[in-house]
Amino acid sequence: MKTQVSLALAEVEVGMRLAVAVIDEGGHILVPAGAEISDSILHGLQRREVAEIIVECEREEDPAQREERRLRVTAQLDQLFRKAGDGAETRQLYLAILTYRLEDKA
Amino acid sequence: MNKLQREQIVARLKQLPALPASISELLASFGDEDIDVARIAHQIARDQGLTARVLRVANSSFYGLQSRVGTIHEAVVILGFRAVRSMVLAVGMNAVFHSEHCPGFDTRSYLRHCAAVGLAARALAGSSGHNPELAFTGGILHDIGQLVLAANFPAQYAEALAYRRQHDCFLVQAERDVLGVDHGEVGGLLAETWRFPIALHEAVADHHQPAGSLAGSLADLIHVADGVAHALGVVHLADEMVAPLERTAWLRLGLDVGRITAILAPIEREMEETCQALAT
Repeated sequence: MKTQVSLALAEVEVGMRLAVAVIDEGGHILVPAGAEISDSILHGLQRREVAEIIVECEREEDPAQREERRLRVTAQLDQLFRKAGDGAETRQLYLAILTYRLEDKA
Repeated sequence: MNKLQREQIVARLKQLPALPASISELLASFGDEDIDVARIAHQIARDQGLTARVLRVANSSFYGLQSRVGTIHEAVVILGFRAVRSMVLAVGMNAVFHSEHCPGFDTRSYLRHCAAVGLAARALAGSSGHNPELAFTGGILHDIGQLVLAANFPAQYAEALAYRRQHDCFLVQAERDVLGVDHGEVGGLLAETWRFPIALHEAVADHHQPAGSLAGSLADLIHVADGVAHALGVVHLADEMVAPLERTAWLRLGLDVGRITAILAPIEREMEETCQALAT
């Protein structure tokens, strides 16, 4: 399962993928979300004294945790879809969000 | 509470201050191939607030530029006139209305939702034959009727918002019950007043009932993008809810679970930057 973790710059390794864009105080994007960390990006962040960044990482999840997460996600979706009816297209949208939430997000 | 009359809304719309010249020229340029791009770029550049916000969007990861653009002229050269036109309309038009005197209207949530719809519409546009930049603009502007109501009829609109919370119903239903009109219709009136191009007019007026528009209309795309944005729960409010999707729009766009799933991660990844870029 992919999740996000905040790392001090010293712990960041080349090849990791940035989960949240790095933005400076003026609101300018230094590195966009989704970028793969390269040597030059890492050096650029060090030069600008960025303390920590949020990267994607893979994490094993035990069955109990997965079930707990499925119940939590389903409850959130049921609340959002409480008046959406049971039309086939609407259920496909529900399924798309459920699949995404269970595969990608904690 | 008296319901609003169509004439009353139209009369108020006619009293709105004129759009900045750069924005009205950009709107007119949709039907004119012989436009003077350099002159319009120069006109946009004279509005410093607008320029700053457009450049923030241009430099966001949304466009994936390798180097920063520093002027409107550079943005036109690198991204193209059509992309810059969409950006200017998206960031310039919402800033015309001031909704802060309408109790219960949450401008931040409004912008977050519009950003998500813009991103979703842009992501779905390519495979359904729509222009991605126009789709983004349509998404950002689709609920502009809400801004018109909040800014021009704040007391009446506050009542519709309170009714919605009390009845846990869809906003369009609350608007129709309390005001007698909904934000789609009001957005359509604004689109007529400001002479939006037909694609944006349909996106604003028909996104809650896209089946009434012709196949290929931007209304189909914005309708589904609206559903995706609500389903992602981007405004983080307990009263957010997804409306039933119209089968006609879904089928005309040729959608399935896989195509929707594929656009969700990019939308969430680009949300914060887009909101920050659009904020006034």
